[in-house]
Amino acid sequence: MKGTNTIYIIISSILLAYIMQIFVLYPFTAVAIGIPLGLLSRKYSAIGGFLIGFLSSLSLYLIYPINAVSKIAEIIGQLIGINPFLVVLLYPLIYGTISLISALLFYYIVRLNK
Amino acid sequence: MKGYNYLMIGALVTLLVILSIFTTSLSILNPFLGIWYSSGNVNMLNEIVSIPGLSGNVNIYIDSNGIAHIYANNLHDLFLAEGYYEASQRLFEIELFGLLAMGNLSSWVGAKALSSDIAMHLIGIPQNAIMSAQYLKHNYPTIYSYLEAFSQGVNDYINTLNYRDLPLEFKLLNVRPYYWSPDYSLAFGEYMGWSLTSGFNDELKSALLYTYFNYSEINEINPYYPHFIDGNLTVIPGDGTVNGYNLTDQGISPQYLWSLNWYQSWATGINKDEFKDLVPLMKYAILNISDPFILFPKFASNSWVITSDFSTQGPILANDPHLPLFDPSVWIPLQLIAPAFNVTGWSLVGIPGVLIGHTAYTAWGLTTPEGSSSDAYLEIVNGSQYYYNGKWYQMNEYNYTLMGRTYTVYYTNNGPLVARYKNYGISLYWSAWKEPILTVISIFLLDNSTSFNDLINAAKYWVIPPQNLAIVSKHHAGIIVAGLYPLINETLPNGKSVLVVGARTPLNGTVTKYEPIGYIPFKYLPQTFDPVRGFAFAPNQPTVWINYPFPFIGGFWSSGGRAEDIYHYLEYQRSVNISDMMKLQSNVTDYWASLLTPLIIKAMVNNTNGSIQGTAFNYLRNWNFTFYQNEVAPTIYTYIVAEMVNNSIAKILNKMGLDILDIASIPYIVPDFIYIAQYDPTSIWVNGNFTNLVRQSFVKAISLLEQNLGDNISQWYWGRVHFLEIYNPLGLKALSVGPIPIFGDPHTLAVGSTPYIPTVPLPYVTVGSSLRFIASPYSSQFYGIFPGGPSESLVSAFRENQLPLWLSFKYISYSGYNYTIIAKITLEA
Repeated sequence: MKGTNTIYIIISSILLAYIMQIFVLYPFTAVAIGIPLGLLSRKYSAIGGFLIGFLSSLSLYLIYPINAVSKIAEIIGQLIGINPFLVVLLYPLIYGTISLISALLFYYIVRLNK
Repeated sequence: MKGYNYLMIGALVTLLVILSIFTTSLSILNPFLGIWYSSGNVNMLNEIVSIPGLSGNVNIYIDSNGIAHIYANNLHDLFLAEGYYEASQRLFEIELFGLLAMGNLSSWVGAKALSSDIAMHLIGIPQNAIMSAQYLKHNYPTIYSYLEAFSQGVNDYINTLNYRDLPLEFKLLNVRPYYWSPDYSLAFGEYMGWSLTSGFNDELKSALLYTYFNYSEINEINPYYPHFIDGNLTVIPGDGTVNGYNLTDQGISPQYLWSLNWYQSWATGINKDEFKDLVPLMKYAILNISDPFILFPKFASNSWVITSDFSTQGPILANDPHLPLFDPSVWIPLQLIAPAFNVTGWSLVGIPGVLIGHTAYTAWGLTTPEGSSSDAYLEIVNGSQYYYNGKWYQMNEYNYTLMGRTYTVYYTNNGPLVARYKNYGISLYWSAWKEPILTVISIFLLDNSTSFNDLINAAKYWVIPPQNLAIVSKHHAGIIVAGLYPLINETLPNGKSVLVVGARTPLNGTVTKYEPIGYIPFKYLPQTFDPVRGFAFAPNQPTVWINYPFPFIGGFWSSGGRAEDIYHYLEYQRSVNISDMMKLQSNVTDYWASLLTPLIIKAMVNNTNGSIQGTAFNYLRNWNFTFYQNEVAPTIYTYIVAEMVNNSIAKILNKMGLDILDIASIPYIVPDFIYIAQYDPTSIWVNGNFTNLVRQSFVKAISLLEQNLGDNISQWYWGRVHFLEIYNPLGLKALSVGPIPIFGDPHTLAVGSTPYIPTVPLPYVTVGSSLRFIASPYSSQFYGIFPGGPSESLVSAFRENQLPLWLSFKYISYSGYNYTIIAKITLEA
């Protein structure tokens, strides 16, 4: 696959990651990220899927003041009994994991048609 | 190879499905739409919002203390804007209390709130609110239109929200805001009204005592008037004469009336033997309506007024109502301004107008007068019928549905039946059942008052709950006990009749004789205007002395310890000012401790054993009875009292199965001990020997403290065992503030009330001065503080901005002028 195509695939995947998180609450929307990434090799679709899902999600915290995020994480951590740091990372990790699995899924689907 | 691909696809799809299903509940952690963005309801932003229904623009200025100043061109727009602003700061809290009061909280939190919802319907709060709304709509359409405007403002704010903007708590509970209506405002008013209503529970608890103990024993721990009170200490100073009318005028000697045994059947229509059979019923009645999701508060409050002759700054009002210290507070500070309307103070969230505050000419405050404004009636029932005057009648039914199941409230002629046992029932007579809550009219009149007469006129509309309405204008000061007190026509053993308030036990509901026959006429409600002695005070002590024309048989007053503090301070001052009043509000001296401690010392002289006991004894001997966080003596004293309670009265009652009385929380337990020590030291309530009880309790208390705090007594300071928790109404610890070491005890003016239970630390203080207010309209000085802020957002700088000042007894200006604007919200028509 050409380098430019790979870039388009990654960019479209990143765009999908942000759009899905901004418009839909649920983490399963990370499935959409994997659709374009399935065109890459198995290794890169897996790595790309996880990184794009995880980092896009994590980067959204940058729109808030760090103190506010920290305070809410601490309170939610107390409520559900987990470390506040993990509270912040939980959604990005899940989002990244789902997009990783999705990318692999579409990789195998694409391979079926070759 | 294709088979392998299919296998992988199958496995990955399965994994995705499982992962998606199990992570759905974590959706609220979505960094964009989830809980992280919870500032939609809180940020003090300069913003312009277009609001349908306004006839002109409204400006809301937020000052540097978080007080909102709302300017509108007419009252409709003003109350609409108030609704909008309150919702923008406290939407979740408003809606939580609305659902709680309407008895439908289970629709949000499920079965956990079911018993609370049932209790609300048994008390009749939703039914009464709906009845009141209809009444106001037809009879006071202007007032109702203000309630509607407020509701519209709340709903306009709700309409601006998408999911992302919702306050965090909505996302945590996975619920959406519902549209507000006047019914909810009135229901919350009724809920607060019931919280501050005495009588029903007190009569049942008093009857439980009567079942197991004799009259003289009961009078030692449950007297008609608290021990040591006299006519100097009542809200209305003097013998009880009001507007020239008293008991003596009716040909009844007060001494005779108050010497009678009001527990007997001539007064209640029920024999003591019958009560013995009804113990389970009375317990059910207490429990059935005592389980709201957010506990009904145990209340107490302070207020006093100073006349112009006694002050250097004209009449002065001081008020600090004690309520549950919720986080966020039930109060929201604001100023409402429209042509010929300008009021500043605190609004009770969800109810339009300012409940405690001032205009340029007047100021007012509230405390609870206690006294039975509700009564318990014993009924004979059979299925859906009740027995009355020798005949069976069908009970009225009110049906409602919770979580898919239909429930029924049955009504006798005396009110809703709150408990049944065999063929008996207990019904609740509460004036709110029959009378619409015109108190909302009173609030609007207070907010619009320009003279002392306006304040008195506003008091005429105050129905529930009865309140000591402390009022001042530029030249006058007074207190009136405003509200509805049902009157019962009692025939005394000497054949004379007298109209009394309340009873010492439930009353016989099967006959006409004990039914309420009206209310205390306004003219004869306890009241004092410009008292000659220069001051009046109302910290929940008896409102009137024994010659009052309508005796409060069901008084159930507070102990009067805070009344003693205020009286002893003001009686010996010749002239006071605002600064003095602030100091008095911050007073942490316990009057009862000043009487009980010498008795403890007397009992312990030459009876301490070892250096720790000796040191503890010396701390008590050198104590000036203040309760500051850094003092040791309050810790020693309080644990001795707690051990005394626990090893005598509480133990005796618990053995009888009367732990429901929660004696350790009853405020007059300490003066009871003092009274018993002085007049009956061999009483059963001190195990037959007061001195021995003190000695045993001293040893136990010191041992307990040594085990928990170590043997260095200098470290046993009050702030290590006495903490404040400002708690979240949902009961979520993570959303609460504290524990914070806190001053005071149950009897200090700067209250820090905790039950006398010997645990280390003590049970947290959760009720306290929900605001402090000092007003002098004559000198145009108005100061206040409350332990919170306007916002409910966890990340807002205005969530608890006034708490540090409240903790250190500082005040800010609530004058409504010369404020520093930090933000402006414009609501455009």
